[in-house]
Amino acid sequence: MKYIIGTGNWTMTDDSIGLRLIEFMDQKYPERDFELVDLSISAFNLMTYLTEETEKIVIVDCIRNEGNHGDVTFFNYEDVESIKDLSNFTTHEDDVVKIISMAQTMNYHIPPIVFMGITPEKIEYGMTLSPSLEVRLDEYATSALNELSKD
Amino acid sequence: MKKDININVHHLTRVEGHGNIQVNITDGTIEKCEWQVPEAPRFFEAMVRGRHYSEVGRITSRICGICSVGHTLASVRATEDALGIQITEQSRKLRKILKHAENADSHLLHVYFLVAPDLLGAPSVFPLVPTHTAVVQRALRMKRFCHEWGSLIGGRTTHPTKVIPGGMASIPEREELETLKARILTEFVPDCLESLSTIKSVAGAVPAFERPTEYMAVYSPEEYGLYEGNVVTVTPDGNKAHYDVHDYKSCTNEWVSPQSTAKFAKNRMESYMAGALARFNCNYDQLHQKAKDAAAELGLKPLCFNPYMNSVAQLVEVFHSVFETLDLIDALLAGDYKEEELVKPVKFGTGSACVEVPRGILFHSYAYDNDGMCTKADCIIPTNQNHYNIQLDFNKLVPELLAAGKEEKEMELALEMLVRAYDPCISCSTHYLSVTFKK
Repeated sequence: MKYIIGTGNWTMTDDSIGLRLIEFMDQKYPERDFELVDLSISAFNLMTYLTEETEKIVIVDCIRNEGNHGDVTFFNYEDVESIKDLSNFTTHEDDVVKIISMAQTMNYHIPPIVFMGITPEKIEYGMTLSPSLEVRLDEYATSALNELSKD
Repeated sequence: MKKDININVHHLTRVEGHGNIQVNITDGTIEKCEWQVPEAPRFFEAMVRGRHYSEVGRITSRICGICSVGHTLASVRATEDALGIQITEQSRKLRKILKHAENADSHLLHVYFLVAPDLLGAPSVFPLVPTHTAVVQRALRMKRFCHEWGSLIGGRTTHPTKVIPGGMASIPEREELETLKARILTEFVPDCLESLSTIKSVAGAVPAFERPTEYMAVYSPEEYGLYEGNVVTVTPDGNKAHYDVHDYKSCTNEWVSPQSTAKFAKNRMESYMAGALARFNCNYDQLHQKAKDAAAELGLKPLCFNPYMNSVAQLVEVFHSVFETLDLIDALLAGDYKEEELVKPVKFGTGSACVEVPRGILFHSYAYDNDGMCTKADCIIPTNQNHYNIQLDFNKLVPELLAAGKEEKEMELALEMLVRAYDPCISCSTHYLSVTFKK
């Protein structure tokens, strides 16, 4: 099985881009041969998909980088290391990159994983995407699917 | 010599969404000692106004990414209360299994990934991977199991799709429930027993601190209150008071303090505690015997006034949830288990419900007009109810630490561990990727 997995916080505007794209693709592709997963903030649940039955995973998330808002950056898990600082106060924050790293150390099967990072326009309390990202959902869906279909 | 101590833990911007610990001691005098929550309100109540009753639970489940099952259940139950819907016994049992899955899932995440590193002297779970490989492997195995357990009932564990007003959108196959039961017995229960041994072996590192307070939880005459019921509180002298859930404002009494943008709460005492320890203290008699046995093994007895023991109570509740789930599956399979029609509304009015989420008692309340559109909403989450209790814990703990001659870093760790024991859900934070490219 192939998966497109969205992660982020639904209440923090562009941080939710991964979740909004999953919702959008769920409507756009009712018949599909891949699974859409709303991981929300539960990064540890990614472990469930790290099995030999998984052919490929595309993880869609918001990424803070130098790009213009709305830009898409594809990269492999192996190409990056996390520099995210966690408070360790709460189970409500997490880090997908660190979770995969931990799984690898624990000898989990790591299928091909590609990140699709989308540069935010803003991250603040709010239940909608920035218009600059909202208008590109269809384009993002196509990009995610293209990436998923690559060998 | 009198000390100068300045603790300022992780003071992040409100965008990131965390609480802060600030302690300033000059020449041995405590000038400031605060648990600060600089969070902006999120206005979920306003968001659901004007929405159809069928949409409200889906929206409010987004209040929390970890407790989304609990928010869904509280929201749907409050809506059903407003609409005069009495769901079937089969739906109630399935929802209870889902609630148990969420509790076990969240508790294990908290105990293994946030609390255990403190007890083992590590800054986080990640350094434990090479040093405590078997323990971390077990934690991940149990976490994955809980995800599968909840997904079977709820469609998915994060923002479940199958719990809707009137019942369940669909149900697992009989064979799937049988398989879940078999796997719990052969895979999960042994890991629970191993977890008990692990936590028992490090329990001596749990700080010895006590501050009697009031404890609040859901109360059901039928069972250990989690999925449904009214409200009970117990004070340090063992006195219990009961409140109808429709009068929840009379026991939560929210108030505003300048040090926090989140509201505080109080009832019969200056503050109260919600969460696993509060449930344990309020409803110990209704715990599953296996959970009582686990509590005895861990030295946890009601009434316990040590907030650090909340994490121990969480593990006890894992035992309760797993064995209650086995009983619920048996009861479902012994009956006429089948797909059922959703129960339809018989009125439109106001309704309230309380559900225990991992962090404590959660209230949802709604009003609907005759078209089924939401006209008013109110949600009181457990973390807010705990904030002032944390502050009062600080007020007692800091002088004790100072008197014991603790150094700044020791005090900082003790305060961090205290906040962590409550497992606060401050804002669900943001979760963007922050990475550096290796090449």
